[in-house]
Amino acid sequence: MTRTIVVTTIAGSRVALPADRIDCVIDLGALTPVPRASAAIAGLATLRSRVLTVIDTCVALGSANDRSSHGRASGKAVVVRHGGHDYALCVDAVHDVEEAAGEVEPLSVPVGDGWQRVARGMIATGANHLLLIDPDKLIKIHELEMIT
Amino acid sequence: MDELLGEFIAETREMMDALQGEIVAWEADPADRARLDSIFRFVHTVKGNCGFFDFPQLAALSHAAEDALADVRSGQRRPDPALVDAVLAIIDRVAAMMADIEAGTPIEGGDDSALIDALAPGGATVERADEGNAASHAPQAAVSSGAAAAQRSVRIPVGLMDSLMSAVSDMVLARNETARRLSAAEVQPEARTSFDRLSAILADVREHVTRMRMQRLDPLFRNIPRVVRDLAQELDKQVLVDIDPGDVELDREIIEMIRDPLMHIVRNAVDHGIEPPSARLAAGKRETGVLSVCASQSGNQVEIQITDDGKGIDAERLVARAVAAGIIGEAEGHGMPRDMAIALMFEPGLSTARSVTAVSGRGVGMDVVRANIEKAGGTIAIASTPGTGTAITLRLPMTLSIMPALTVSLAGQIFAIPRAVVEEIVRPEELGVTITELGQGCIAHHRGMRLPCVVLGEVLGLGNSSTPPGDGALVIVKLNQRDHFAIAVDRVLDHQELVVKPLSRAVLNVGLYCGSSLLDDGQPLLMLDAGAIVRAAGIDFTQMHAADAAEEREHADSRTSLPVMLFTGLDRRLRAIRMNVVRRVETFSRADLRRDVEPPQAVIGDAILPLAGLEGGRIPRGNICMLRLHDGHGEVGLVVREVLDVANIDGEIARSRPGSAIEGTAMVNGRSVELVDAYYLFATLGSAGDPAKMPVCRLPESDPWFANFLRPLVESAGYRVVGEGDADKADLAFAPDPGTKKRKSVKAANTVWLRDTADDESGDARSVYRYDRLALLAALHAVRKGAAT
Repeated sequence: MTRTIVVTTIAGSRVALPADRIDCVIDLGALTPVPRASAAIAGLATLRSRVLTVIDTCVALGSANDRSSHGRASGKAVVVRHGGHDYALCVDAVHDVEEAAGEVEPLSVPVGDGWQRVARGMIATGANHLLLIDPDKLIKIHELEMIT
Repeated sequence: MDELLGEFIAETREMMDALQGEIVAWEADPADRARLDSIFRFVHTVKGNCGFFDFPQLAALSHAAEDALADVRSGQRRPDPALVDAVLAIIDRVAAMMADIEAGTPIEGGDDSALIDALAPGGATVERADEGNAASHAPQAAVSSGAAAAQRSVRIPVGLMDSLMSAVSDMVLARNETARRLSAAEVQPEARTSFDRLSAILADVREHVTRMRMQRLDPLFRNIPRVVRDLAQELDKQVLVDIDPGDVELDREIIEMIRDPLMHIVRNAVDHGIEPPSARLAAGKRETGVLSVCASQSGNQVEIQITDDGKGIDAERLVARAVAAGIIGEAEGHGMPRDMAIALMFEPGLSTARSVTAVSGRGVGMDVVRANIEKAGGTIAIASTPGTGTAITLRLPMTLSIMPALTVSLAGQIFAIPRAVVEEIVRPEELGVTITELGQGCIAHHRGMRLPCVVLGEVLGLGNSSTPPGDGALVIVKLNQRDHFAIAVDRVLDHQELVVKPLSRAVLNVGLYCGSSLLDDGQPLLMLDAGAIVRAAGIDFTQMHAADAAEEREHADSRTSLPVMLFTGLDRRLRAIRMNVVRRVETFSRADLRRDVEPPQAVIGDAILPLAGLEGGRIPRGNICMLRLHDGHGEVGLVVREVLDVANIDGEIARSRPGSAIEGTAMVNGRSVELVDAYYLFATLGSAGDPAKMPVCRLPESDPWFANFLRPLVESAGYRVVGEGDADKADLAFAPDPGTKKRKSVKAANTVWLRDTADDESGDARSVYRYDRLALLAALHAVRKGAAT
């Protein structure tokens, strides 16, 4: 079975997202901050009268330090539906939608804790391999996280 | 009644559909407890509903089946194939009866005693093949009448309604966007007119969609008195029902889900809670028990409380029953805390009533009740004191509802606070509210009340950029009857009706917000959970109340003193008014003042208040300040120049002569103050006028049509109504028309005869068809004019 993926740059890395999980790609405008929420929650945005919870993927992956200006530099985000709610995951850039060349393979090298928690595996696209990110895992981290 | 019956049929059919699978499973395994419970619930519900309607056959059948199943549930009887057959035969028979009831035809087949006898242990077996006819007859009828029912109402999946709602919200946003562009561009007036029309239609649509989802609790509560009356009569008890649906609206879906549980609770309260009159007298209570059902909105929750002053729950008996039914072990039962014992009530198959009654049951339903309340996302809590009564509290969410909200700004960000908990908005500089800072915390003194003050900026971690408390506005929040507090915000912006959307888990986890919504410009905003905010601020109300109570006692000891609000009138005289009639202080713009009517009025939101206090001084050019006074029924406004302070009148009041606007004069802080007579204000402004000068209309009091239908019309036309026996001279009388020959004279200056038919046979101008509203009004008007001159 071929798998359609969306190639994006998240937190400075080129990664793949499963296309079937992605509702759409949007340009984020001004966000409504959520005071006292975890740092990974960048705020609320709207998409046609739906309220989106915007996740700052850089913070979520624990790599906030290198890009503390957030992935919102380009103001792009992918919209994912999870648990009956809409989430927007900030991305640096959205490059392409492709058919993956093969199946999802287990990770063969350590990819770092942050990525390890959200990766579903790796997937071949043409010449190289990309990490396949599981958006649900990315969101789940914050659902469970206790707010301090 | 038709509506009720329709609901009964729809509900029963729905349950039956759901039951089909259960029946088969139960037949396969009669020991299956869960199946048994659901079949039991079905016959129980049918039995309960029969209490309303006159279906003795149906009631007898379901009661018999319930009895047999209850024995099985309590372990007194083992389910055997004969019993299963008998019960299934009864369910088939019920299906056939329902089809007949729905078709409006008399129930076919008179004698069900064979079916009932078959339930008895070792009873004759029933040939189910016979019943096959009845069962196959049922679906047919159901299909044919189902089509007719579809015209009355349509069942819509909630998901579809949600997407409709969200589409309409989108349309509103698109409309706003278009409006912005239209105002920027030069457009033809015609285009603007059609846009306005579009806007108006959209507003209508939005309202309809909203109404589709939201429903007031009144219709739900309206059934309660009837249920209680019937049941009390049957049980020879005396019960007074006190219903207060509040101003609460609830999602229609949630209302549907709590309808049955609520009725179960009410029936249980009458049946098991309230004692017979003799027992009540023996216990030193009044013969008549009181059952109150009231609803209130607190924060994002609706609370429905069902309270009775009956004998309370017998916890020991509950424990004994639970042990007997094998729900808990004997050791567990010993020394079980009372609240845990009471919670046993929610276990399936438990009962405390010694005798079985036709309508309520054996504590049955409480397991169902809890399951249904929880399905609606709510909680149920029971508090019971032996001898004095039981209070059951249902707390229900209001997700996906339209919520009136107050928008406030804080550090440049907009938040919403549910309007339901907002008691008042206070701007410190206007009102002599003092804010005392106590270390990190602060307390607001407002009209003699001491309120803990939550600085929202600090709770939300936006403290640094926000203005210090007291510079902005205070929103006074009333969580419930006792717990009041103030929230300090930068600015209060607006009242808005917001479509509240549920929050994602990640945001809900913060624990301070209860929903999100969209502003008209499409910007999302967070709705604050007032209860959570005050908890997060670490405010402990119990200590607060203890301190208040101590202070109150002190006050009570010192002397009776009268708390009053001091103000100056437009004529600059110092006056006072009793504190407890002041609802709030409000300013309104001069544009909202209407002086062309008598008395003058102020238009505040959608309320129109008659005004006093405009005499004797210049009306301010800008905003006008007024005190909103209430007498428990209505409101009037008292225009003031300035609100000064809150004080107590401890000394004597030198009374002025009755019937003047000033009740008397008293000394406050060494100055003489005129005490405004609130009674006089309401008497002159609040009511339509002096009752002695109103024209009098005589109505036959024995006829319910006159009392229920005609009387409101007559009264709204400005008449005082008297009965046939009253000696008062009447200007006008209405009486049923028995025909021109048989009319008896009525003591009144004018008599109008009301006939039952629209056709006038007599040709008498004094005879009017009883539903000819225009003619009735014309008669009322003509006599009124005559009486006045």
